[in-house]
Amino acid sequence: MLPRRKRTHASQVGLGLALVASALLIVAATPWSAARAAEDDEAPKASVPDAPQVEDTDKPKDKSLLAQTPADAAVAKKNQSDNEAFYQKWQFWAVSGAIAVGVVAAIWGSITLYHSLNGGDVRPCNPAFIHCYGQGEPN
Amino acid sequence: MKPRLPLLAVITLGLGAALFGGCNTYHYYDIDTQAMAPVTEIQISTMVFCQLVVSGAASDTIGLAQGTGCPPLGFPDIGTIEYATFADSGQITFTFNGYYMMEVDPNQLCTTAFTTLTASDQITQMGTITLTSFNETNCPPHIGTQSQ
Repeated sequence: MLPRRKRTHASQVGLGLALVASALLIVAATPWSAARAAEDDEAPKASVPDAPQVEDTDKPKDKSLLAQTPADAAVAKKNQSDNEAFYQKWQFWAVSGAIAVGVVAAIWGSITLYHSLNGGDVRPCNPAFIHCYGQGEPN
Repeated sequence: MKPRLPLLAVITLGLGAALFGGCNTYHYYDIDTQAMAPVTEIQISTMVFCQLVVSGAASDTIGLAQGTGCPPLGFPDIGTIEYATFADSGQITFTFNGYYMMEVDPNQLCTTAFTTLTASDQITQMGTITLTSFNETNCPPHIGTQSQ
């Protein structure tokens, strides 16, 4: 009769590992467990119904918030005016006109002043005289 | 700053004109030319060309021909000529020369006389040139005139 084998510590560890591996195989092979794991990975679904894709959900429901305010109009006008060329602005033509008028007035005033400082117009010739001569006279 | 530019230009030009051009005022000299005996109307009628020479404070030479005082249309008052000048200081002399021909030739000079005025701030001054002599050698009476 053979002697009864004595169980060693190594054999006890191997037996435990075998049991754990078997349990893992059983769990992984079960179909309901894989589906459940997949469901666990998904984000929880929102409770609200799905909105149409074209609808802007950020758009405020209050219409008064969407109406243009005077400030918006002013900003839009300013942006429009900023985009205009310099010659399309009335200020350009106002300043240009003022400068042109000023230059003409300056030239006319200078000529008049110069003429005045140089004696102005000679007085008309007395018809009783034979003739008038000298500076300023047409001769 | 741009709108002030014309004003600055006017001021600058005005000051420049005042500084460089000065301030001129016309002065008028009314010169009356008269003939006095022994100069006769027949004698002065022989003059066909006259000159008014301005010298001194002003300088000018004015030719008087047909329709402008020579031959003279009046006697003894030949007429008045007004001379305008900016001169306002110094002596200004007006000399009247009458010639027998239409050229400035001492040998054709019939009569000469002058007057001297003192230029001043006075706007109008009057002077008289009096012809008191006549050179008949240079200016013999015209034949047509001689028959009269």
